[in-house]
Amino acid sequence: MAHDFVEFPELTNRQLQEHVVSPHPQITEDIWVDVVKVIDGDTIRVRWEKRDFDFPVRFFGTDAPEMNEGGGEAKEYLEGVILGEEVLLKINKNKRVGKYGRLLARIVSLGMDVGQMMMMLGYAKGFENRNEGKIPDLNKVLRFEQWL
Amino acid sequence: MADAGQFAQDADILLRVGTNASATVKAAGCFDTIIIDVEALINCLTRYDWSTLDAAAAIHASVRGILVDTGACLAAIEGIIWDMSGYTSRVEAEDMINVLRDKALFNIAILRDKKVQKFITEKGAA
Repeated sequence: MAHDFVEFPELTNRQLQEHVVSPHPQITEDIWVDVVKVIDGDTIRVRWEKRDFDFPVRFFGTDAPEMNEGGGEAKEYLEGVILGEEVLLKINKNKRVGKYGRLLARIVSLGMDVGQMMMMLGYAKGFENRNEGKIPDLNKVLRFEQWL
Repeated sequence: MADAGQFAQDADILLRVGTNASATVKAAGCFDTIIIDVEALINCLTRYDWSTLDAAAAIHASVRGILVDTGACLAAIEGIIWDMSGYTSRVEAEDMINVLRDKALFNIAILRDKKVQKFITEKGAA
């Protein structure tokens, strides 16, 4: 099946290994970008000089609440700190692309890791702790359906 | 020592280097220069000229402490780096630096928040 480059501009490491050809340059190293939009507390849209379109970047290693779960504060904080600024995207070469085909990166602004700042201030959690404090879905945990 | 800093004074910094800091750090006027550099760093990192605002006595005493704390923590780190000989071990000195660094980073993360900047500036003069 052909890759949808409009919806998912990033190729996964596996696709790169399989030599899937992309119409635009792929990001495999740290790059400087301009932040054009803050989507929520852990996703931004950026503009890179080597691409003629904006693309989404997901914070690597942090997880902020969704907008309908009180994520507005996190978004506002991010807007104040990095919107319109030039930031450094630090790419983890082993985990470049995440769910929904978004680029994963640590975002560094003025030498400070923005994800860590968000975690320090309580706007976001570490990705591995994202379900902390949430009530588990008993249907999933106990797998009731298998008894029915 | 002369108090050269705008936010943090020598007493604030000496509180943060701890009782075990060497006599050199406690006595010499090393902080006179360091505190000015550190305040420049805070102003640049937060993209706000707190020094000028504070010089005009336009920061309320109830919120000014965060600037004092940030400046003093960063200056204290520089002091500890300058002479660690007073501490019982290198680990103690490193622990001091780690705690001060975390505090300073936390404060800077707060000061970079535009809403906090607005809150502090709108709070007005002491």
